[in-house]
Amino acid sequence: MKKKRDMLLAAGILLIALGIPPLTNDYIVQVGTEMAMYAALAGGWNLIGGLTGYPSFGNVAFFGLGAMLAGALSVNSHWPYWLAAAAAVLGTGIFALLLGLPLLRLKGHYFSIATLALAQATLAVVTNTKFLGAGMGMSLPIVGSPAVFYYAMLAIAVLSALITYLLIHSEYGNTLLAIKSDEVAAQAIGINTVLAKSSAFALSGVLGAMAGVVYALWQSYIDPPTVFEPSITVLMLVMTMMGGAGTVAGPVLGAVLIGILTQLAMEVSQNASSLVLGLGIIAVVLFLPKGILGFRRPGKGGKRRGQSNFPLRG
Amino acid sequence: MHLWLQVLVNGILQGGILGISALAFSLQWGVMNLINLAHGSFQVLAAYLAVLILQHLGLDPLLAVPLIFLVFFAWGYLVQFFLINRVITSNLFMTLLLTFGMDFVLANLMILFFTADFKSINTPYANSSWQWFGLQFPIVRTLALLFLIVLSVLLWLFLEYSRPGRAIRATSMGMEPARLMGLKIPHVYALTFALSSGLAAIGGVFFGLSNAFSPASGGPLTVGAFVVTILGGAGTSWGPLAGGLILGVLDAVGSVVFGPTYVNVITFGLLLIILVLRPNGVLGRAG
Repeated sequence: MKKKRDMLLAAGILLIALGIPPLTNDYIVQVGTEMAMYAALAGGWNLIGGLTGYPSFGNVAFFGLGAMLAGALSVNSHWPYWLAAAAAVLGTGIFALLLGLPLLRLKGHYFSIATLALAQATLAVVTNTKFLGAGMGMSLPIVGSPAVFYYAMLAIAVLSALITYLLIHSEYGNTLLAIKSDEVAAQAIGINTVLAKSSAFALSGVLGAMAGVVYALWQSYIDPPTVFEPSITVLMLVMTMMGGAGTVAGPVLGAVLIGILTQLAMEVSQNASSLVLGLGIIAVVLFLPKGILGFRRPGKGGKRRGQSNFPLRG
Repeated sequence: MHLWLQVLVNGILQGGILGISALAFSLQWGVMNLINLAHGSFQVLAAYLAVLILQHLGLDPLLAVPLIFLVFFAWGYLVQFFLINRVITSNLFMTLLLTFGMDFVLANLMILFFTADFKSINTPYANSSWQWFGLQFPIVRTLALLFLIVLSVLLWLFLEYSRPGRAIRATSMGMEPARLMGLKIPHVYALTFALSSGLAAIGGVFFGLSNAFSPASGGPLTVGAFVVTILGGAGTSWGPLAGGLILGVLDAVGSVVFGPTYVNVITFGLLLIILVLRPNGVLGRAG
């Protein structure tokens, strides 16, 4: 009966979320749009970082690439926005899939830092590409209303949670969990780990790009440093860790809690909100290492650490 | 020809600052399997400390190096003992996340105290150079390279022959056996982190003397140290020297050939390529 209760709870939360635009003001809708965006992004991060156990430090690359591609295709190539958005999401997904193949061979620290470098390299390439604005910002036409963007982001957040739910309850999800628990053993029983990991990475990229293309139109002005801001990745992983990595509701819970905390700290100053975020990260690590909801299954959230990889040599 | 020789010299000298920074980074990584994402912020903080000492005590940053080393040694010991040790035996991701959080806090505290503006340390020799064989040798960078060589030798001697150095090496080979031999691992780890914080701070002073810096300069410094460590191999005494020279020269040549906006593409592209070709690091083994 636990499942039925969960479903009711999810439906209740969704109902409240749907009611926000007609019942509250523009400020709350704005904050809500941001929360929904981060719930979607954190949900995407959770697929690779939480379920598969590959903590990516570069997921902002997908968000940024999605936003810049959609912007460039609609502004420079005059495509209708829906087509530009679809192409950007598809392109980013392929980009993630292809890069996932070599990157996901890396273990532990190496994967994390390689993804960090991936985000920086993508930013550097975008900044040097003429079609993508050569580092200059892009102005998109102003369309829609706050409520439209709120519902769009909410839809992506729901999609993100739904994908996670379906994954966890599928064979594919078990494959990912097997990779997280013991990749060598997973390989030994015949799982194509490369394909499984890369497709999870691509899915994560697709969700990031979807949030990115909506963000671009919502803000109507984008430039590379903003959409490739490393702290966006930090937020994704902190929210997921705080709520509970590998769970369906964890990223959503984390996004809402951090969103509220950030708003409260913003009342004091912009700087204070970043400081609170930093202290929050440290607190989560020290006091809530398994997140509020805990890991779904017993086991560990990453690679085993025994002795160090490198003996100290003279 | 002359231009290229000068570019080569610039690259080699840049390698000095990169190398000192990597000496610290590589020690933590090699011994504790710890990637310290707050590394760059430690260095920037040391540069600010040098500014404060110069302003309030009138002490030249180069003469203040021992003092700054000691301050960061103590600070590093406390950070490791009370903070990082608490998660160092859980999974790798936790230590990454913890140091990420520390980096955020430090960077924002620095903005609070020193503003987000760029600063530089004003010394009479900051922009002057020695002239040898018709080539320019900026004083600060040349000294940094000499420091790197001396520090590499000292670190090697310390790890090879001193008692605490042996304890650090024993722990890096295996925590459990070291513990069974009676070593107090938390203190060995704290000592390691203290030592590398002190080294990072020395690198930070040199960085501050030769570059304008702001609280946001930490991120690129961390990534630079990472690339150099990967190039040279973590946990080796000479790797940072070799890696620093390679990256310094590549960056210098790259920015002349492709233009300065491509330096990041080179650094990160190189990092990605090395990682993909050698998934366990250049000198790493399967693991």
